[in-house]
Amino acid sequence: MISLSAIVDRKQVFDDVKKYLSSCDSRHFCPGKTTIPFAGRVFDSSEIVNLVDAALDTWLTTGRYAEEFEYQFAEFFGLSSCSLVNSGSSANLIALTSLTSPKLGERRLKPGDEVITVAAGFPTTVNPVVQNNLIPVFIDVELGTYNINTKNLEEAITERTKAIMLAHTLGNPFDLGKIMQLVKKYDLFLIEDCCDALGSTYDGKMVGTFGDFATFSFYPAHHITMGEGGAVLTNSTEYERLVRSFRDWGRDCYCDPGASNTCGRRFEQQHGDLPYGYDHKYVYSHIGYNLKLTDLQAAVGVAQLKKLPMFIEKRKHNFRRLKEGMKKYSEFFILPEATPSSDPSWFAFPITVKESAPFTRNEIVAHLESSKIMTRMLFGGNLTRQPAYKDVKYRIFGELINTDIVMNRNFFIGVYPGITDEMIEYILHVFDKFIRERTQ
Amino acid sequence: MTVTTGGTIESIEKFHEDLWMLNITPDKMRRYQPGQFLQFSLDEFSYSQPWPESRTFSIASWGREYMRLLIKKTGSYTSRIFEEAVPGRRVSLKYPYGEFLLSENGNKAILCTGAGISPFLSLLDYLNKVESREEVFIFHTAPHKSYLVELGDIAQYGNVHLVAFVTRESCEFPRRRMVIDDVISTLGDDANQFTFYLCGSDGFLLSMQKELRNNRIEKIKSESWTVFKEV
Repeated sequence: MISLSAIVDRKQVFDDVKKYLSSCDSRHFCPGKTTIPFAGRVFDSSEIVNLVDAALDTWLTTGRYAEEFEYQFAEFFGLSSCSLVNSGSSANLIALTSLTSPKLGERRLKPGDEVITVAAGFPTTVNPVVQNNLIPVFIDVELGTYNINTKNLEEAITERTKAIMLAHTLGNPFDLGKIMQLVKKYDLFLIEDCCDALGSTYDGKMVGTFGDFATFSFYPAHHITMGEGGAVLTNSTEYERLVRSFRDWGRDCYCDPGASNTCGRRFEQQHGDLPYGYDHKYVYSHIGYNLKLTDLQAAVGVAQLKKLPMFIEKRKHNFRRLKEGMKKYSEFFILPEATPSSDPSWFAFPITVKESAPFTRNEIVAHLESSKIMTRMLFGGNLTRQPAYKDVKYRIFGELINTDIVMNRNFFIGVYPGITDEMIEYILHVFDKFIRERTQ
Repeated sequence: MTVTTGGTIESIEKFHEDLWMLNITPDKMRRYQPGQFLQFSLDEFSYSQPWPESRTFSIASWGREYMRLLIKKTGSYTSRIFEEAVPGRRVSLKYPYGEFLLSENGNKAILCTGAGISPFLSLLDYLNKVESREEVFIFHTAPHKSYLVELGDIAQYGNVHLVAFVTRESCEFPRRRMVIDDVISTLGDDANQFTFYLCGSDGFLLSMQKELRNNRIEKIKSESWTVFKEV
């Protein structure tokens, strides 16, 4: 086989790609006509050049770009391990499922064990709990931070409670001070779903570095994107092995794609009831999946990572400008509040319409949408009211009063780096116009 | 989380005619833990092609600007290494791998034979760098005194003690293999307080694990891939 890389002058190809892309660049904002998305990718030519470079490698499966991304991403957090997967939802699935491994002995999660979480959020933070025959225990959230209410959380912990799995809602860190105190006191596992919170800090420390696992999403709506993609981070070599086994078909062997005999004992081991020396590449220690991503995706991610610090700052900037402009309407809206001791890298700007407001959530949302400003609900609202959860076994601690308020009266608009100051001005103008009309 | 990289052999220490230490500077230096291993190839790798023929070796150093690999000539591939390894030679590396981690806290009893000392040399580097106060006993059976590598300077490592046996020549160390009684009598009643780390041939691992369990010692970790057996 002739290697493509041997016959193609890549630099020439990259120059042509850049030339093509510059001819396509037509970004122009026209207020009221151009849609302002709640999120989106922010690319320049470097992502596409990397994408083409990875394509020309013709390797396609997880390869050099994945290796580079994993290293750089783990370094960003100061952690020892990053494992790329094909989505943030897969990251959650793998992180939680890893804790069911028999290799953890008595520490492992067993069917019927309880996992503390919230119902106001994205379903795939909770679904892995259900998929592993564990019991989600839903706690109510606070309005403003939209994170778990930790005030009476300790009372929800029982002998069956083994883990806490929570998202930092829309980039706002949950109360890690209290959560870590409980994690230590009751010897619980903690999985931080950081899919919306890349770059957020708590007590000056990056979220994702507190728990046993952190998960991330690289879907286009998120802080950086690969199109599809996700990652599981951990500081434990033991957990990393479990993550990679469940990700890679459940196999025992840790050879990378295309590699053989990494352990040096491929045909020299006894595994269970298999014949002695059975090929280690085909020995399975878990009921696993195949959730790897392609090197093409990782190539895009490597270029995105370089922009991450700028993306984080731009999100914070946009959030600050919206918050400043919306303050005058606090009579009508519950505006977002950063969790004490935190500095969020916001995913979005959540707004709850107060019951006393002279308009409904649906009315303001319709107005924004008709003005070309995209809105979204806080994902599943109250997951226990979703059709999918009708027959799911779960426990609710106390009442989900605020969770229902989120479902009924909350929505969010975007702060992503593609939103310019001009767009923010327009968004605030649209709010002004709506409020003026409704209060006259 | 591994890295694939080229590297350069900077120097070679020839401890014995069949035991060399290669000092290699990887193009990409990544963090690893004492006890982990790597894949070494004399051939160039390509990101578009499967990984070339290679062998696994413990990383026999930690926290240095270069990596040390202790290599015993046992078969065709290691013979090729001995033929082709010269300072300046480019090689390919993939690392780190393995769960035989030596950075866990606590007193350690290390039992090894021959080149099985290799992973524990990274521990010595580690203990030196972190200024650990834990107690480490190394029980090492080697065919020649030169196999003890730089363990002769063990005093520099504070609480590290060497109990060596040399089987094929007479020197200041007993001319025989270690037996379980050497271990138990040295550690005394405290033996159960130690975590035992074993590295050597399959036969050594099996027999020593059995003997340790007979002495009610349960905290045993072993690394059996470093048997330097070649197909």
